[in-house]
Amino acid sequence: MENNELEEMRAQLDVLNKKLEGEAIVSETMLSNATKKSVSKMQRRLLIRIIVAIVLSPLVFTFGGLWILIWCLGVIALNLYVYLKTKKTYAEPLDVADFTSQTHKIIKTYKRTRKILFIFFSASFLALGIFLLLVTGFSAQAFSRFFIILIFAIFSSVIYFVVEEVFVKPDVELTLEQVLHDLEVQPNEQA
Amino acid sequence: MRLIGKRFKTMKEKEKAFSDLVKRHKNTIFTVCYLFSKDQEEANDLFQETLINLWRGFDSFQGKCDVKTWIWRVSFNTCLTFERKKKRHVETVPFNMDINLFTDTDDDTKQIQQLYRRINKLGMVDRAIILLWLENLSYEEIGQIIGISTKNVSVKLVRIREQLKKMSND
Repeated sequence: MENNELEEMRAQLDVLNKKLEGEAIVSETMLSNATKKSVSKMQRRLLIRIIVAIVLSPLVFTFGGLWILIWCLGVIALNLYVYLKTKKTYAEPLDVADFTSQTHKIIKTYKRTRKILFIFFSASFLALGIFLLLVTGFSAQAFSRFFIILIFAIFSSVIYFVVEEVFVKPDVELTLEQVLHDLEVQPNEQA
Repeated sequence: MRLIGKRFKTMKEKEKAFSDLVKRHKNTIFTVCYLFSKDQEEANDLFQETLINLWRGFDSFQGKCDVKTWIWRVSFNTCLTFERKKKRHVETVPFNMDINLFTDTDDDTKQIQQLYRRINKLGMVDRAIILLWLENLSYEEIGQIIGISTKNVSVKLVRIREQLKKMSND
């Protein structure tokens, strides 16, 4: 490569820079897209979860009964709450204090409801077992059925817990916590 | 550029600072995206992805290095990762530009396209190094951006020159 060829490349880069100088390139929509992207990805996944839960709820009711349907509706309500709340919170550029307090509120509600739903899910099996014990009497057969349900409850709760911790929790909690971290505003620094 | 690394009182203030920063350095970001993509659409996607990454790192950037160095680094990293992912499609807003450097045929664009063809024959990291060298950055600055030693930069540059020479002879 001759030196003059390298100089030619440098001159070509100058032409590129000069040409770009006259162009706006970046639009406001582009910028606003960039600033809202992380939350919007999470919102999209929340919507998918809501739709899947709605579609599956008749099936859940048929095979799992009323308890599981209630749990399913709880999941829909929780995801819907986070979706609508984040949509509202991030629609307009807010004051940081307002923005962070809203985000903390969403995270707090989300964590609490997630725990309740998990306990409800596990307890529903236990309740079903106790119900069957009461209905069919405390026979050896009823007890063995109760223990099968109990083992199933533990097994499905573990799977539920793993799925929640690995896929669901990082999606919502960590995205929102990342938003707070990005702003570098800690809860005690508000106001 | 002291807005970088400072804490913002409102989201609006932060977005304004970010918008100013991007507008000031749009040429740098675009040049990297252009030289690392195969068409206008890919350049557009890369540009958006770079903006997202710049926004994510906007607050955590402490001003330990020059703003432009940080922008180069984020832009290159985005292009390198984007190439490896190849690629989940993101919804993008088209460039606010009257020109298309991939398809226009005026004299200036022809020159730019020649530069594109030369650089595009190189590997990803080599592309980044030669671009920074053409931008008159020192070996130390290039090393800082790419994450290699100054000595390694000079060795790589010699190889790149040889490679370019070989290509121009072919």
